[in-house]
Amino acid sequence: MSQTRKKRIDGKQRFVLAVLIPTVLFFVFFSFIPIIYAFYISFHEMDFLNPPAFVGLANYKGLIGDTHLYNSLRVTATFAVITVFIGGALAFFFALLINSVKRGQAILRTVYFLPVMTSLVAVGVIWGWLYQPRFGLLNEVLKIFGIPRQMWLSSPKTALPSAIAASTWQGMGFTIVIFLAGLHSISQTYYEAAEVDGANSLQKVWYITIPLLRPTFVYLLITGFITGFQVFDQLYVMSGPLNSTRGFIELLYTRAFSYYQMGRASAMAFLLFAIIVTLTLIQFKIVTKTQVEH
Amino acid sequence: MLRRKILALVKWIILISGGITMVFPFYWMVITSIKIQSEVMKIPPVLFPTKITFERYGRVVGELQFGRFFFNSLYIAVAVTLAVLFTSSIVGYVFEKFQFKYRNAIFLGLLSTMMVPGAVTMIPLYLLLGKVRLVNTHLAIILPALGNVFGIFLMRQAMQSIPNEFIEAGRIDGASEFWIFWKLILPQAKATLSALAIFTFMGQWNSFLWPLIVLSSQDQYTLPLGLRMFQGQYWSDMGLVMTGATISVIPILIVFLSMQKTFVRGVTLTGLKG
Repeated sequence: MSQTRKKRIDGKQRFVLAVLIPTVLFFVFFSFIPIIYAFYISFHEMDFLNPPAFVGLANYKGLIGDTHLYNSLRVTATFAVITVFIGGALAFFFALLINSVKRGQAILRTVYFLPVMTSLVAVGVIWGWLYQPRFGLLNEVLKIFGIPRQMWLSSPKTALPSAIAASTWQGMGFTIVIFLAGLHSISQTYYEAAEVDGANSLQKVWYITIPLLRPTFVYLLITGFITGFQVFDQLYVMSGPLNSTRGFIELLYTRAFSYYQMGRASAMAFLLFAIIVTLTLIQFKIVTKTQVEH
Repeated sequence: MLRRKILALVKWIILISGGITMVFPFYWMVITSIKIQSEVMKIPPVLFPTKITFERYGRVVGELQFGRFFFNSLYIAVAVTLAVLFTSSIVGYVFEKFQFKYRNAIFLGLLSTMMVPGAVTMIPLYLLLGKVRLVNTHLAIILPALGNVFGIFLMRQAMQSIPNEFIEAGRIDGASEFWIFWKLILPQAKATLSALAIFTFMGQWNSFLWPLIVLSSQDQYTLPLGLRMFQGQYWSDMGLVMTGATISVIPILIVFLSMQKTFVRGVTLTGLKG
């Protein structure tokens, strides 16, 4: 009896170890070592030709006064803020509309979700064609309304807004589905009670829906900034002239893999890490503070 | 009453215009790819072509290697998806259903890696993979993707709702631990597994930055890389570029349309972005 029991424990232990050891090794190799290595690289001057040379904090100091970096931060921050707030507001608006219709919710949700499935490279290619200044469809549409030809992605002034608009088109369906899930979880009794009190639709949204969807808003805000600050594909494939859409990751990528400034690029990566952590902490602070006030 | 009807009408007009905005770019992509050459760049644009041609598809798939890119994308995405499903579920299972030393510490350690942006590990991973001569191979994409902390987290959550009695019953019957996991536990986590499968597949299929870094020879390219290169080479021939775009977009849209219930549940379950 005790022998089979012992065997059983051994079997369990063996199983746990057989799963755990490869798992831990995997993450040591593919996460922890690279993170430490990145930290090491950021204190060195490193390219493919020469052995790494220790430069102390030079890579980090070099980031101060780096105008390309400032520009890329401005581009990235603009992207993040607009997609989170304007994209979020649009998605909320459409989610409310979709939620309020009795028939056709499923098909509407599907239609709005289609672009989410599309690769951003394809989105860039498709919108590049729609935005094309000479033969593109959008300028022809504008012509109907008597609006002059726009340069869209081909002008440094309009390139970033155009790229952000196309990205919003692509990502809105995702946010809509998240909002819809939140809206479905709100009990109808709140609305019925409000109707008895004579509340109109806008009041219902303002006093019931928005407060009850607070967790959804918080979630979308925080994840929106985390992913927004790491944007690459959209801005890279819909690039405008004169660095007008060159975001942070693209600058980092170019420095690391076109100019082989691995050390400098790694310092940038840790700067991004710090920015994201700081932003997230600030958001958490604001969120918990307003929660107490409520 | 009249006011109500007008409001409902306005609502539908907005919803339908929004819907058209969502679908129209896809229509324009497909229609451009099958227009005859003289109608592609015509002003005013031809919304409904009178003649269509599928000539470009043969050329893009064969001569211009899109068949190759498609195959590369497909097998990488399938391999990564199967691996992630397996590793995430077995690791999630072990963390949820077994007691062992440092369990929470290890789990927290794994979760903490999710905080670090991909940009941090990009450069060192590239250098390390270069040292073992894996740069410019598909293994450089597949290997780092085999373990997925988010998948582990998700599957651990899914395991919570599976009662321990199943495991005990299996043990009493003398089944091996792996058999219990494979035959008794895994089938019960199907809903979460399918959501994870879809998102892993989609993420891999559409992935751009990492393949852009590690793949350099054209015959190794995945669809997004191929399409990007294509756009640069044939920018003046929109019919061809849109053919490439259609080939990379339409298959995943068909998969989505056929499984959209699982998809939507997946989004709400995972809150995972592409």
